[in-house]
Amino acid sequence: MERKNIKDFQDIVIIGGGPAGITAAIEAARAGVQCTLIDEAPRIGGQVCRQKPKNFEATQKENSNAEQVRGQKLLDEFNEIAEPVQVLSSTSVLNLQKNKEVLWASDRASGIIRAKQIIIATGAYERPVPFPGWTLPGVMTVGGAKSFIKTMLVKPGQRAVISGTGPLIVSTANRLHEIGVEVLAVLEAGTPPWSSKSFLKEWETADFAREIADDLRELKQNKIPLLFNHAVFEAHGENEVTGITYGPVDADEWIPLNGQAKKIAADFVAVGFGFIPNTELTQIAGCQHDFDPGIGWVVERDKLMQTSVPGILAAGDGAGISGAIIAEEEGRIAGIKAAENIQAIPAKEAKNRYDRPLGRIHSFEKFRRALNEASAIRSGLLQLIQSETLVCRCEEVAFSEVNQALDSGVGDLQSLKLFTRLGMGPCQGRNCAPSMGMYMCHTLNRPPEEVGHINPRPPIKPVTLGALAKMVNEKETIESDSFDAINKEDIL
Amino acid sequence: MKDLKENRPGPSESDHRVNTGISRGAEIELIVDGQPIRAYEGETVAAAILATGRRALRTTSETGEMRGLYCGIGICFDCVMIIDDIPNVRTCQTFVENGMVVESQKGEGKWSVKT
Repeated sequence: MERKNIKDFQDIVIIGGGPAGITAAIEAARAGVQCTLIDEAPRIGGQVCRQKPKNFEATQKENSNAEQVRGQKLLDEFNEIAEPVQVLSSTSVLNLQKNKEVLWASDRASGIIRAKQIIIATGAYERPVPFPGWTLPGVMTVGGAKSFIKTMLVKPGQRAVISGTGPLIVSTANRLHEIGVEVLAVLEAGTPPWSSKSFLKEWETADFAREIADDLRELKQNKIPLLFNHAVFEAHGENEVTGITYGPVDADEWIPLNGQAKKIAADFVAVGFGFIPNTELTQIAGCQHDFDPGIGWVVERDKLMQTSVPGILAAGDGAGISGAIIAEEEGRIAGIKAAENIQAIPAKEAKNRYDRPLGRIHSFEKFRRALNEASAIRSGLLQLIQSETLVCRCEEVAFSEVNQALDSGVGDLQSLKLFTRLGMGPCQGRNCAPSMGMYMCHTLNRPPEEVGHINPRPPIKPVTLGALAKMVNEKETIESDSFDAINKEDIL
Repeated sequence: MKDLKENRPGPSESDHRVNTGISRGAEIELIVDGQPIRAYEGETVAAAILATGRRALRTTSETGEMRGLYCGIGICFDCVMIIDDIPNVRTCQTFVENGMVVESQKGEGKWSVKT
């Protein structure tokens, strides 16, 4: 394993190695600036272009779909152009300190990089929708399931049901089928336009629509039923999922129609109701955010990806949910603009470079808006939650405790956290704040601005004291892939 | 609290890996709750354990209920286990190493301090 020194000063630090972070790094490298790309995963690519481990090799030609082709193209471009980029994999960013200091940590070491410009491309995670049994082993998020099977080629169960909304539930069903998992049904809570022939016809030249059409065709070939206005109501089982209850939901608000529920044997449930941007870092940096009813809190940006804080840019799904194709374009714009901001390229040249990605974003805007509206979460699903359902997975806070707090006058998420411990665990409220925020708005009849959010606090990812105590500077060498070279004994 | 040991893979464990069209890294061995299991370089600890058919990875500290792989991307911290004496390690983000000792975590987990 190669050893390297981590530079203390950089022109641009990019946080997140998904499509937006990768293209930002490509453009920064093209502009000839000193750049570091920090990514939490062991290999860059993000969730959509997630790579198989280095040790895995395909022994026959893979039947690759448009998404895989696109991901590979991106990684090829990165490998060709971004060689000078310092990549820190398996590394989390814990805090953005004043004067653009980026505090990073790996398993066993940490450090600070001072940046002139920071591009936040932290991506999104799946909107958690609590329902009875959602904490049982065998229940996974759709995206998590898809990336797990794509990279590890391990079956997470034998008989699966997929529930949620949006095209991702269809492609995940196909990937599960491909590796030999029996997919009983795909339950789509909405009646989305993306499934209609006329919608896909209108957009047939767009990459998005082509991928969706391919996935729907494949689903049909695989003989997997796709039920609209349906959802999983409950997962059953003692130690892991052994069965599920599912049924229809009303078309407007997705209220579960319990009278028509059915119970079936299944041992795997993948659930995905759209995405929520990871806004912890833009919040910590003090950037302005707005509430988008279909998504949640979203950082405010100009069209060149600049936030309200000078020198901090945000790109990709961490700054609004638009998917990987738009994320690539946004990342490019952010990389070019950040390079221009530090005079690495003149304004005119920068404009030449970002005009094309800007045009691409513009051409897809209407399509994305239609998709986002169709996939926007509806409040009826909150009726699935029972009083004993754990709404905060980490601190094991039951729905009844939330209601007690509300009865005592709690009216915002931050107070709910102090009252019940909801959101105090290692996920820092990512898996409870969205649903309980929506519940509070709905039940208390308060606007989201008043219900607020759970304030992120550094470190935004759990870190050991050992890693923090082991702060390295650029004079010290550490291993580049992970930081295993630092003796475990050092931190004990 | 439920006993995680009941979920240990037996000697006749089935393999939930897909083996067509793929060659994995070198075969290695992990010790999971005292029992050796097969793993391949490049796999995450979570993948190696799920490949044995086991899906409950830990119990929680309050209700003692079982948890497994949930988000798969390092956000939820539900898949944490004790790896080489260090608790709260995300098995979905940790690659296997030969001889790695993995234990089911109960509640907050325990640190073993070497003196």
